[in-house]
Amino acid sequence: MLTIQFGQCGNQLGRDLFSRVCADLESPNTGVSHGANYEYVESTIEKWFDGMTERGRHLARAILVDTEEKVVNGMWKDPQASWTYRASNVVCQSGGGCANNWAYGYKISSQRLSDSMVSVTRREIEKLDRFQGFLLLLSSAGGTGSGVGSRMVETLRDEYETKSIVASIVLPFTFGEVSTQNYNTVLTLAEFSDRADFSVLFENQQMHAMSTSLLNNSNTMLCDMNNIISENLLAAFQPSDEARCNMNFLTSKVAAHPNFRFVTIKSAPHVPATSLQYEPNYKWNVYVRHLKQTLRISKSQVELTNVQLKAPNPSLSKTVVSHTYSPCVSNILVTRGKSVENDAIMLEDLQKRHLYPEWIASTESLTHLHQERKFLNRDKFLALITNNSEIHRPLDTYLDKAWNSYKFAAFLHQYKQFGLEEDDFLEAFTKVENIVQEYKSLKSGN
Amino acid sequence: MSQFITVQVGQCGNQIGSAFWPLALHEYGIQTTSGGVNLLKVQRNHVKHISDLSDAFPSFFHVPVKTDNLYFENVADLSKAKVKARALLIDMEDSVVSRFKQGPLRQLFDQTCIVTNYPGSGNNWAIGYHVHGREYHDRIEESIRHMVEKCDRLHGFLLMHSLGGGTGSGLGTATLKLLKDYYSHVERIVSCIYPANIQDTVTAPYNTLLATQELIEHATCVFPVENKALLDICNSQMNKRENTNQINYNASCKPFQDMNSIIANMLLHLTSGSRFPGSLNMDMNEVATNLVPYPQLHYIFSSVSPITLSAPNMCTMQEPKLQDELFTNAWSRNNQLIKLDPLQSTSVILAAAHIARGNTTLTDIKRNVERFQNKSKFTSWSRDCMKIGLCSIPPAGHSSSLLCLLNSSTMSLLFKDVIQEFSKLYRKKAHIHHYTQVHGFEETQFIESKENILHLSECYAEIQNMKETNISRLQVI
Repeated sequence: MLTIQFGQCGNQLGRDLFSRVCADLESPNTGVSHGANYEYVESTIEKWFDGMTERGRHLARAILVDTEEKVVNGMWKDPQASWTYRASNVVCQSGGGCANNWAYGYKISSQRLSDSMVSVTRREIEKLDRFQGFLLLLSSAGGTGSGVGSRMVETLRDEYETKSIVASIVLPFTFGEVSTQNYNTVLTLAEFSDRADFSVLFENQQMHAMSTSLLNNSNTMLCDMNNIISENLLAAFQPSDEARCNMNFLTSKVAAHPNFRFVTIKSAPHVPATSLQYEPNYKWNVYVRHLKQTLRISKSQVELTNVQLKAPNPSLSKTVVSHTYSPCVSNILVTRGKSVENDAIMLEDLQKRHLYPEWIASTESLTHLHQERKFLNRDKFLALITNNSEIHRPLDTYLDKAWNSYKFAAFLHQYKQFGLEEDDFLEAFTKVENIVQEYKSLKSGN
Repeated sequence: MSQFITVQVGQCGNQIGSAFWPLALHEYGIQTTSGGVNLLKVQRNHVKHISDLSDAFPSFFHVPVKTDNLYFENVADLSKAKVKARALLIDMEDSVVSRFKQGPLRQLFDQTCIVTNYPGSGNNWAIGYHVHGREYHDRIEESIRHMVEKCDRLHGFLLMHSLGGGTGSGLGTATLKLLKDYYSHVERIVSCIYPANIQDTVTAPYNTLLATQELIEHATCVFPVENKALLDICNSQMNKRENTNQINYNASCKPFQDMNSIIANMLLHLTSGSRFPGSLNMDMNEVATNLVPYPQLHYIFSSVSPITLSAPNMCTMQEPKLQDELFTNAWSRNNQLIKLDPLQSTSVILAAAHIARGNTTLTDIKRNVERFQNKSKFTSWSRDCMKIGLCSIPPAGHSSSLLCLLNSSTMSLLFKDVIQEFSKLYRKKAHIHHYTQVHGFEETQFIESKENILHLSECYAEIQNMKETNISRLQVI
């Protein structure tokens, strides 16, 4: 797997991701035999890293792309870390950023960077015997991540037609991080919906809320949010006992239908690191049911409480059936931790037919992956990779806001000066409208 | 790190410059004066960030010798290393620039980058723009090229000048046009002084009108400043007794120096995102993207908070509360650098940027931006046109500070004022012959400029009264 980090957000997230991988490798409490742990560590290292430095630090198999040196320069300043980046994998040209402008990133910066990006990518891939696919990390708000990332995903698709491309896209706060974020987001999503096999979407809003309410972090910073995103990604991508589980496998399971390619990851439990050992440990079923709850949608107009922001609750009885759930194209449940006889992982909850549309075969609807080894010292950790219709809500919001400014032609001259035309905008709008429509009209069987 | 070239034109521009450079050096931890208040003592925590600070040293200064260690302690170190400021000093009289030549920072300025002449432009825009502009075109162009060649990643030009006089307004805008012609892709950030009401020269309304027209045409972003606003800010600071460092500082400083340092602080803050690292970077070129929704509407309100040069030693407030107050102060009309209230009830906000330095966290910003969205009025599309930036290096003497940039339709009042003052004088055709006798100047230029500025202020009015249109989103068939 080759990770490519775009822009400030992508690079910050990437650094966090690799730190978490290392933390997971070094975690003392594995819960499995030495041999099993060794196997896990081996395959983790094969997945994320590429050799070692002379000082015994792992080298991340990652390419760093940015147009501003400051972030990338700070990346390997930490001498204590047990891993580092390969200096030759930095593709950076400081021309003063992309001005939060998708068009600038897509049309101008990417041209300057693309040659070296392509050659570094090729060099990395040639080193690999079994290349699984790409993991792209970026945010959709700024200019570098969204613009250069969009151009790069096109190039990668052309060059490596058969390889999986998975993108992890961070969506901006709805109150506004950047004035042009809604345009940038729509343009990026339109580009990735065609090119990437599937994109995992993370909403900053949601991550911030999780950090404040679940981790009791009243003064949440960006790195706290990145930590949650990293844990979600790792819970999905770390090795599991399914031997064929590689990126192609994930792609075929979660994004089997070409019209539905945007997935979210929900995970549990999230507890503050300091109180980890005092937290109650529930049975697997409690967590599974909790994750199922995150798929709930309200029947009436009333806003539902955001289940992701609550701790799992064991007292919830099974008899409550009156909820409606959002229809899912497919789900993958990843469980990490020991499963014993009197606490088996029951999947019926997530296999119910009312969760899926009729055209999905029941064998395809839910995939279960399990790993005995504990993830980051947690006794139990579950992640639900879900491709469900709820994703249309955030997309709809961004689309609405972008269209609202587009109506008044606000900020458009900034894009036009770099060669983006009205038609390009309309095309992007059409694509994303289509995606929203497809997800909205998804109907589950009874 | 991105680099900036400072262009200071005219007496006023050079006076701003003389406040700017000591403060810029202070930010990098270099003490410039031996007497007065030791600002470095005030700046307790600069040692913590010393590597980031010295990394960013080349953004304002050119260091000819390639060294890894860009840490300097005093002016002597600077001159030993032959450090030069990336600055172009233009004045048509000698007095202010020659003060630079004798001051403690004289080594900092390259002789080739000083353009002077005698006598001045006679408070006449036309002489500054047409006569001096033509005559010094090659000289200025060469000086700029000289400096641009020393930059490996030039990011922007910072222009400082006033609009009331002749040199600043005339030659300043001529330089601006030159920069646009030769370096069209480089940002041109203008911070200019509007004379506004208290006029020290009779022809100020003409000069202001003609220069404003040029700024609308050629600048990327304009941050207008009014002397009266600066004076009010200074006066209110003088009366504050809570801060001993500030009192000592007040006692030692000159009035214009102090007012100009407010502008200098604003410019330092504005460029901080490009110079220093932060968890949410804000580059200079993002300023224009985020704040200018339509072409030519690039006049931006700016306010820095806290405005004092140093923070009180004792702070009893809790951190979140302190942060909230920082934001509230920045929105207050008393802290704006022009005497207009961007948040007045009749006007709308087109876009806003909040750039925080120091220990402000994302949560603080999020909370306060939401507060801002609740208290101000927006057009139907601009509610989300918010930009946030986080720079981890605090300004000298503070633990955190905030720069608030607003694009508000209130700005049309400034333009109306410019036109009104102009019409008052033009009705009587007073002093016109001074302008028309200049070769290259046509009287129609007055009328054209007036029309253009009028058009711009109509644009603001149009946006203010924008009606919700009902174009529904694209339908999927």
